[in-house]
Amino acid sequence: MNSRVDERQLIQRYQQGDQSAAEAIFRQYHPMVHGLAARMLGPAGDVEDAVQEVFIRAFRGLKTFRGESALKTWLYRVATNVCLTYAERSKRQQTTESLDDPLGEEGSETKGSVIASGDRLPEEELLGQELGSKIQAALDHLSPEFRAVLVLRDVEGLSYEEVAATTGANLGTVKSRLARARAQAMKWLKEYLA
Amino acid sequence: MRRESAPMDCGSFQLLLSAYVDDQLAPDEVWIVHAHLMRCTGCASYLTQLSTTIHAFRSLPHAVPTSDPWNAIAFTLRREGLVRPWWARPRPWTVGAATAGIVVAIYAYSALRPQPQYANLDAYWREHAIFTSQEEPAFSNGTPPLEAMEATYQLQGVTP
Repeated sequence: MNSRVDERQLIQRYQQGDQSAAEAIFRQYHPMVHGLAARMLGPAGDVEDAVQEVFIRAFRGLKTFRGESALKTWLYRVATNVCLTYAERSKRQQTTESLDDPLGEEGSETKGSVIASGDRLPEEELLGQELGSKIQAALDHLSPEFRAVLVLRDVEGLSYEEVAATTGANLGTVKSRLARARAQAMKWLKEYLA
Repeated sequence: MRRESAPMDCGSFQLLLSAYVDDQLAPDEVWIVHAHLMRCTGCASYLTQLSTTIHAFRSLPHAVPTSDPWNAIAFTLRREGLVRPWWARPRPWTVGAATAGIVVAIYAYSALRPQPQYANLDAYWREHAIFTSQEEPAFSNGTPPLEAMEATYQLQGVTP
């Protein structure tokens, strides 16, 4: 209750142009936004750029924010949208840059063909890595929409309703995407978690 | 009404298990899941695997920020006029305080400023508008009033 009141006061102070209120909001939610961006974009993604863009977009929108939803949920929505844009952009770049590149010396198999077939990347690429990086690798191979629901639900711990509000999808779509995302991630992690 | 356990292929059924793990199924769907799991070891094994996978995701350590982008964000916000630092923000009470300060300063200056010294009686009389012109004092009987004479004595250091 108190934190909700404090939050409203912070937002009002920010809306009057108070820079220290903006900084307080940033400090409170930076770890959350960074965590989401890091899981959504992976280690090779532009996480820092995405985090900056999330906050700049959020602060622009916060000028007219009327508090109909909690600031946290609203920030998750902004962050998810920005991360989806970055993920799509990154996917396009990867498609044009490397999917046709041969994985081995022989050149018979490409990264694109491996992903399309649903097989794992070469085992040596996965062996010797920690569980965290294996899970991140599994996330990276999901489509951005699937990744978003999986990260929001299973990593960030949002409820189905919150995931639906954050992604703008209805509850049925969230259930379906989450089930498929988990099934795909399970394939990638099957041997490691067995 | 409880539905009969309609034959469902394991692929479709396994998609149900995701919502089942999160308690998101309707009671009749839960009944179907239980009935299927009792006779399908493949799906029971899938459920175990699914639970392990979800647990692995939930136990992921939170990614910690390695840099602080606040300065860059604040710069953009200031450039767009969305925020101002504390010293640049207008405050209504400062206008009143500034006005009061100016009034006090003017009053103090006028009260404490050094009094003018009169070089001679003409200057004193001109200052106090005793004469209407330079030529003649406007005294009816040709004699200056008492106060003018006292001032004259003061200027000359004479005690009457």
